[in-house]
Amino acid sequence: MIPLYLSINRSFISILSILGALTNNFNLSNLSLQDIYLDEPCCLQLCNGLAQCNTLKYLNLENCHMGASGSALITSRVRNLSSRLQYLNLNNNSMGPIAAIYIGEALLNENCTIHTIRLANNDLIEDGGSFIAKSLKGNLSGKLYNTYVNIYICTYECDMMHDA
Amino acid sequence: MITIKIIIFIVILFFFFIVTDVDLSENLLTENVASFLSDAVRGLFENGVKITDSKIKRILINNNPKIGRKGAKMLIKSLANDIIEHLELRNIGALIGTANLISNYIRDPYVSWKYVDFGDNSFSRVGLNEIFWAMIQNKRIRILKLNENKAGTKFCSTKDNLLSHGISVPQFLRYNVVLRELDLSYNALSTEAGLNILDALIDNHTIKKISLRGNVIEDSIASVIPDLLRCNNVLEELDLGEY
Repeated sequence: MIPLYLSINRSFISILSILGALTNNFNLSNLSLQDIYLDEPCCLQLCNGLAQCNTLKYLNLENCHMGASGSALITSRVRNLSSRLQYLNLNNNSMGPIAAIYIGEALLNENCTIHTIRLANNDLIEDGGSFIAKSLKGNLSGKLYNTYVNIYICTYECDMMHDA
Repeated sequence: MITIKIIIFIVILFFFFIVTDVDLSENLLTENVASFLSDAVRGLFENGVKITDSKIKRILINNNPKIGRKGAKMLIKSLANDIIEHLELRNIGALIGTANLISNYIRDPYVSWKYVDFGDNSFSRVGLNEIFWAMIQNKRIRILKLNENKAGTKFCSTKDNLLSHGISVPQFLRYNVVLRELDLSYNALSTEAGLNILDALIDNHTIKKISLRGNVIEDSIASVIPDLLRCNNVLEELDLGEY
């Protein structure tokens, strides 16, 4: 069985082992763990799992009570995932401003593919909010640079094809 | 031909892989953050020349009261563009000045807001009147939420008459044919206001959902409801709940 969509919306005692199993998965595209309490060991295990999911596009961790330390672990991994994630929901996790730095770096990534980002009720306060706002602008400039490059390469390739 | 097709495809990709949907609700954001956000939403400038617009279509900044009136004004100025369609600015500490600014942008056909939520601010009667007079000219907004804005008992009553122009909300209900949902709950509206609104609603055949919950509306409003039910077959939900 190759699961592409995994949605667990109720509390399991053995959630840690389920998260551990993610490390052996290479096909997951949607992961939803909404309303599940994720403490620090769970977050660490999830981090390891996320590192292996090269196909993950949709990540929903709404209302997981990760706290500052847990969400710092997850968001540091999200920074590496930003080139394949499209949807990121981290609502209601009391992340604090530190996690915002990692998310900001993810958005500043030239290859960032995230188009929906939800960060409601996370106590970002002024520092975290400013960082996200600035990185949203950076996200725009990075894309612009990228598009110019892509169009240039593409036109060149097309001309080659035309000649052929 | 192939060149054009591939360029179009890449441009589509560019629009797809850029942040279009942002939710920063309940994060204790301040006026400074509002200024950074407004800067980000304005787009990208280089040497004073605009290079590209922001691609954000949906932005939620609810429940950040520390943004305050100055931050709210900054946000509105930058969010009024032809890209943003879904705007939620509930409880951001906005006052009458912001309402006046909003009314100006509502009149502007260039602004593409479709879903607008300015609930739980302090627009008061004057600010809400400005918004509803502007809404007469608007042809885009489908959902308008202005609940908990401290309108007061004078709002929409005969005392709120503007010379020979009439009362703002009934006039807006008669002339606007685009709006589908209106929320005026918890605004301390009087029975007279309720009667005026329901009377005007008889002539409106586009609104599907209207909420007047939590206002000071007495039972005498029942006299208009039979006519409303007989003449209006579009309305699907009318909320007159007390609490």
